[in-house]
Amino acid sequence: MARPDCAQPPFVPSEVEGRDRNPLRIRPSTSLGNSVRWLAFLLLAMFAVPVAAQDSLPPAPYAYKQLEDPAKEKAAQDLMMTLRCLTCQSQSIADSDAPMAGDMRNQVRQRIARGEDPEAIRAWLIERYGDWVSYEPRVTTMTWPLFAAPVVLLLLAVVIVRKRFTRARAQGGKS
Amino acid sequence: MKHWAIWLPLALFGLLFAVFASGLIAPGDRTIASQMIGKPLPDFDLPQAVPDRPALAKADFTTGKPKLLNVFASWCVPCIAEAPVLAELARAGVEIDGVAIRDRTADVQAFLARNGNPYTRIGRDDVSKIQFDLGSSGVPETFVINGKGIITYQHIGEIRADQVPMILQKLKEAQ
Repeated sequence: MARPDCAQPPFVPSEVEGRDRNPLRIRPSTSLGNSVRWLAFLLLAMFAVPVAAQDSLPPAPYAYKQLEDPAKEKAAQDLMMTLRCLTCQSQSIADSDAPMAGDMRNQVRQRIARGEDPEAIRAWLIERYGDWVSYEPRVTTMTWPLFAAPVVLLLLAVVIVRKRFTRARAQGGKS
Repeated sequence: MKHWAIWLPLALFGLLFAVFASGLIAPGDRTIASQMIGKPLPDFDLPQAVPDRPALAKADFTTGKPKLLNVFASWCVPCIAEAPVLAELARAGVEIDGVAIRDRTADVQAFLARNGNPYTRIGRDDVSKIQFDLGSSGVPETFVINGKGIITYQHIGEIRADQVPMILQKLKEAQ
């Protein structure tokens, strides 16, 4: 599906000059000419824009602006670190520069500023996008083995170690 | 060491290889379906996007007639491909209401002038709020809303020409 994707860094070809069609031909360009061209390319690259479609609107008010209250900003930041960006699916919204992640940060900060509980905001998003949107796994009928496995393994380890120690002690007692 | 145990590393390698290969050959579906299907449209009231089309609010979807709610943007490339298909749906008598995401009036006007205007109403959303309300994760997306304001279907990505009968069917089902 072709969709405006994550904000990608502009594509910079590693090789600026095209290869010569005839490698035997002596090229007129000097090393000075090369560096001038290279400089010109770098200058151009400064103004390169990503090919992926991006909107031209400025970011939402609180996409890149912190809340005035440090405690509230901290709460917002903690929450944003555990919310998944919808367009850059392996990033949190705190990490992503995608416009939609900016809009999501704006939502989170404005809701926190209004005094909403961070977990209520998480629940609001899960209600719309499913568990997928949160990086904090919940205990559900599908995810409980995730939480049970460490406990089971630990118990298993205790049993095995106990057996070994008691055996060793028994043998030690015999001899 | 037991005889069969020497094959264990190879078996483990084979297993991991199969897991990674299957992930590479057939990557999982990365689309995020909205959890809002079957739920009422959240409250919203968006300003006008262009002067010649009225603004859009939730009340426009509780008139008794099923409608399409199309999320689009002038900067969205697949939306250009979708425009003639939406026009075809409009010709078939479907009422399509649009929301322009993160867009300027002049840009929307130019987009509609070039690609046609199938919309009855167009709202403007500069902070993607409607997308979070709908559980939508990108543009374009189209929602079927029944006459009582309940979301009955979500179409992710552009509607292709061969999907028109399916969309008409979804609208009929929503009646």
